[in-house]
Amino acid sequence: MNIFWLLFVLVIISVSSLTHWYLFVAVLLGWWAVMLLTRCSFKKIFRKFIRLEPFVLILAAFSFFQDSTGVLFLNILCKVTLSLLWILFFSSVVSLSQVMRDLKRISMPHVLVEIIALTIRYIEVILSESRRMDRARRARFACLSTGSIWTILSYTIARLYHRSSLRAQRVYQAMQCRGVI
Amino acid sequence: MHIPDGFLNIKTVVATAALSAVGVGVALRQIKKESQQEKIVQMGLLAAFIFAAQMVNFPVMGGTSGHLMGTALAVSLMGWAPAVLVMTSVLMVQCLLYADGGLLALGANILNMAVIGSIVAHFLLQFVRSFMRGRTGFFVGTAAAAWGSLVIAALSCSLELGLSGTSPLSMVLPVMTGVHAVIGIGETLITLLVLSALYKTKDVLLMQRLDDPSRASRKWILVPLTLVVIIVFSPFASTLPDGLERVAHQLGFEK
Repeated sequence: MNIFWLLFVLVIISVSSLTHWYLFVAVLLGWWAVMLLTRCSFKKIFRKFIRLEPFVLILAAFSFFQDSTGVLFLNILCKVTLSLLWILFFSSVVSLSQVMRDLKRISMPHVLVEIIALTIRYIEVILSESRRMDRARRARFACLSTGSIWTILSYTIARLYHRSSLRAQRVYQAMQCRGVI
Repeated sequence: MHIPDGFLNIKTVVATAALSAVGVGVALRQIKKESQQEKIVQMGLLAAFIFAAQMVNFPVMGGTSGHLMGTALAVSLMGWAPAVLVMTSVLMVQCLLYADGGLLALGANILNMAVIGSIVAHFLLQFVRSFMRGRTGFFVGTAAAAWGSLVIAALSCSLELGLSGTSPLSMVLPVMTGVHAVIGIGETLITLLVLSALYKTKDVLLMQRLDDPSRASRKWILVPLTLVVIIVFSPFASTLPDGLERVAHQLGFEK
């Protein structure tokens, strides 16, 4: 599964409507088949799906002001739900290196690809630095009172940014040495 | 504000993708002029930082929650062109690896949050800085940029939903703008909190931006600002006849 296949499926969903309901059924069956073939965890997908679906329902409910019969609502709901299922599947099976390869293949500017690669790498840097700072705070038995919580929190965020930026430079050089970017 | 797939029709998808490609292209051209390795590292780090900050939701009202958009923070730390690229990479990572926001709707999301958000934030920041000098001007400008960029991005998002026929514009526009006007207060507070803390630690990026003497001429800032005001307030305009029309109607000299 690569980004081009996903785009193809999403375009099919986008141009379909309830009058061509068999396309929706085909897309759903296709999703079911790839889930079984790749042995992707249904539980993991549904956990994310349940978190995102309420937002979809609220936005789709606005369509009742336009069409009280509910046809438009159902149409939007089918499209959004199917698209969501496919995107959730894609994000759970695709690897970072494959995404990078696909982005390079569509001739995405090198600078942008580099920033995306660094973003993904630095998320881990920020998380590990925040864990270190939290451990240090706990080791000093620091206890946040309600009054000082915002001051300490903002200072912690700033220090976290500062420390991460120092480590980011070293990580970038290491990535260059390994030929990642 | 991340639009999922299925809400926008193909015409809107294509139009927003083309507009966002132009916006990102212009930003890339701007970056290439002053391309430095250190700047790219900082952009990656800021994108990761905004990505992490966006995961923290705060309650707004009536069971709604909001999260930081981060465009104003990126603009105030790095300028509009790097901010466009930072926000674009955040949105692409969220879409491709975390399924947050649609792939077909990625153009629309980039247009709203990265391109329009950064340009609005930049102009608001410059506008305030042209009146207020120094640190105060920078912080007040950033506050205006944080609130303004979020509300305008929400407005653009509701326009896209309205144009796609997903929901009537008269309904979605006031709701989206109203909710995001409240979320904008949280965005402003968080942005100012982070900036003031960075100021205390004498962050290099922030210090460079504070010392930056470049200010755009006021008349060039007023044009986009006037457009923004027209776009924001026109949906709230009354449809009732004005004084002259009413008198004309009563006296019967109306055509």
